[in-house]
Amino acid sequence: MPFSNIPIARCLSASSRLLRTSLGVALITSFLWCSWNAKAFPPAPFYTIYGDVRDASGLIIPAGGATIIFSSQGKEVARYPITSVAGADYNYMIRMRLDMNSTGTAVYNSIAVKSGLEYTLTVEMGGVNYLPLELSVKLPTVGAPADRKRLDLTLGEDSDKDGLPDDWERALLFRLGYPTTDLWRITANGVLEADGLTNLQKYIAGTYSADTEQAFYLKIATATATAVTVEFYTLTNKVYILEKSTNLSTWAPVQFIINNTSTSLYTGTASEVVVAQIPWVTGEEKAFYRLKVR
Amino acid sequence: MKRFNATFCVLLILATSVQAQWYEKTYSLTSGWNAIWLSGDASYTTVADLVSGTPAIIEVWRWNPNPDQTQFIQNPSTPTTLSDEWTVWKQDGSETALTRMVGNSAYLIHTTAATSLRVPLKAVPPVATWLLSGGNFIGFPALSGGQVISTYLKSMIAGGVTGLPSGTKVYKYTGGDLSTTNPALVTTTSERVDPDKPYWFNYSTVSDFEGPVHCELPSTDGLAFGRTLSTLIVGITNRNVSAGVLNFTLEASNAAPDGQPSVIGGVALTRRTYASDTGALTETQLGAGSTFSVPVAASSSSTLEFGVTRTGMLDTGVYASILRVKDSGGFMDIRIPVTAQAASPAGLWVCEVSVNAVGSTPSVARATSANTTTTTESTTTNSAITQPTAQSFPLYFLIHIDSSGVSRILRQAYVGKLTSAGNALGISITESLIQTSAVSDLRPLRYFSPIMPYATKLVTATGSAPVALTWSLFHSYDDPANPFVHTYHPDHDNLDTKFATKLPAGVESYNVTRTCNLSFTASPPDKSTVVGWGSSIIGGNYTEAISGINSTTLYSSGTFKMRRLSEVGVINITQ
Repeated sequence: MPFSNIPIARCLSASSRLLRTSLGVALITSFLWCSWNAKAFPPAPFYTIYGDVRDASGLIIPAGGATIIFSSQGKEVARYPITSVAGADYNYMIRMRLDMNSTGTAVYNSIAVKSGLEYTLTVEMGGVNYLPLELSVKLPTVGAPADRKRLDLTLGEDSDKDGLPDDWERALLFRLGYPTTDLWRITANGVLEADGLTNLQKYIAGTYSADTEQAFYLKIATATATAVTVEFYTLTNKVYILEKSTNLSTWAPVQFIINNTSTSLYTGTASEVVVAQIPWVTGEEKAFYRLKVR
Repeated sequence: MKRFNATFCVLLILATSVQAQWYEKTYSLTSGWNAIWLSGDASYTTVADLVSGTPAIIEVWRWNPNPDQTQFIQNPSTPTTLSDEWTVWKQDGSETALTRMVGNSAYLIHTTAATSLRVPLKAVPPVATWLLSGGNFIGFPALSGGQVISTYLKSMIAGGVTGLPSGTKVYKYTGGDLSTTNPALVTTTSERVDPDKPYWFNYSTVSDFEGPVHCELPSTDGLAFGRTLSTLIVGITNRNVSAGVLNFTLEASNAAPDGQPSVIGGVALTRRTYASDTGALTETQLGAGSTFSVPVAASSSSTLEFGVTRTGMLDTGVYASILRVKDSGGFMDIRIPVTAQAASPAGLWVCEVSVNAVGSTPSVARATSANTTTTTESTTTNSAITQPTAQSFPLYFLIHIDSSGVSRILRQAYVGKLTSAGNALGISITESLIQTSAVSDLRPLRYFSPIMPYATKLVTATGSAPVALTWSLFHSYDDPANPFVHTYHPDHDNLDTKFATKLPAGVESYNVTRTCNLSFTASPPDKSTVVGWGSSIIGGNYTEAISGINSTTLYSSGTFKMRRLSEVGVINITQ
């Protein structure tokens, strides 16, 4: 069976001069399927998948709002609740217990799986199980011991298989004045505006191409010897993180002050422009900032 | 009028130790995945700090032998995993859950190149836990180059089976990438037990077998005499079916790593033996490098008794040594930590006072009383001028005595690992100076004495323990701990009739001064027998003079007992 790549971009950032737009794209690579051997030992370092679970509108499912069901070989292995970890850029994480495939040994744990094995993740919300878009085309496989992969999960229906939920696409088509059945007009990598953001990026940011007032941007308002004041547009329940670099190659989250509170991330409470102050590090000659949204 | 509410809150009374005895291991690591068995404890510093000198180490994984493997929310068909089998540190920061490396644990270390890792270790008694889950990743306190695995485990009895069952598969890591051949299957009849490596045993059983010779120690700190103990007993079990000889060597401790309490010197350990016919005690002094041998019968148990000579301990710090045990069969190499400190009342104490007499002191009666022992009102210890109470009333004080003998009465104290460099065990009156449980492997403890004035964090006592201590507590008229104050009582809220203006002292409530005195006695004042009196428990008579609460000074008296919560003789009083 050939390898296949499933692009899953769920990390959007913007900046220009001091601010520049960029997009983090995570690729989840599926592995060759291999047969399941129920005899295996010893335990191996676990394989980790993590990411964000979003609803059809692009909103991140809050902690406790859903449960991820991890299944393999047609059997449920374990359940993992949606979590909220301070400062983390994910709302779920699964540590898959692995065996080392040594022959002639007994499986050390009933919920251990093997590298290369196909698995399924379904998201249970309100008693209903949803198969994420990312798993609707091809099932992923368990990675190698100690590996760590990002796998964002998008809920909803994706009849045109472009990675975007139909509901969001229909809403965008309606705003653009097209028939809401013209899903073919919207593609994940399509760009409908001069801002350069793709539809997928806008889906993640929660903004719409047709809405000029709801734009994902970061702008420097003022810069003094002690602080840089920036402003950006926020949407309810979207999480915003400011990152800083002095060389445009290494980026790290930066503390900023918003509403008199110092923080490393801000969760939007309304559709509005917010103003944040970033303290200037004494002795630093220049700094670049970018905004990430989840 | 409200009375003193003298509740004393102690979340958990637990004596803690600052003692440590150090040795060093150097682990040779090949490129790829290696496994090491940490026989000693390295949790005194962070993983990042331990491996900072070896950048080739990019990952450290600790095996958690008994996680909350599977828990059920509703029914067994819907298991939910809650904890991880591995705790991980990665150099790139993507995994940070593993912060410190504890002893008696197996670790996987992933390196990008061959290197070596030097680790100063605190000696800890060997422990092994075999689990029915079968995920047994275990190392042993074996003699390097000693016995092969099958022979080493020959005396293990688990589930009615003696020795490692035939066909049990055992694996070890050989370096390189993880694969179906790494970890590699070992031949138990030819593979010698490496004390620095753990092995995977595909064997589900319940056992605590760590070797053919088992040392049962008084505590997880080994032979920890502390400031008070004078003798300790070690139980020896020879699980072998043949007799042998145990060879003991008292070794010096290495210097403590930076940030850890210094090791002042070796412990003046003694071996105590009794003549079987006469019962006469012989106490043999063991110096650094001293050796002695003890024969052990086949499949038998015996005890060894050790003592400590404190006459040469002139420093208030920690004296530490390592008692190394090897057997004539070439199986074991055990390091038993040995520590002691000079006898001293230093440490954190809870003082439980039992007030059983109260009264005032008419000046005439005081002057003429034959029992009056002092002439000043504030320090009288006259018991004849107070009347016995129908029931005793408890008061609790929190007292820290530092290594130089200064006694402080505390409102609250936090015991745990300090946030300062080295993260040594310590005591502070400020919570932020103690590591939280989120970052420390030692859960911090908080002790609290609400009898203290609200704004007073500590009062330094005069005198010395265990002779006599005196201190005064001033309760301002508006202090929440003042017995006159009641926030919701209109007569005692220090507000005028319109609840608008704050009233001064002496209108609704009064400034109160309590002068407390502890007079230590050589034996319990109530003539009872208390085990440990004079060492782990000290006490005597209590008197208190209370002024401001009445037109004349009031007195109370009773007895007190102090129990040591911690032997840490240093306290950080930064507020």
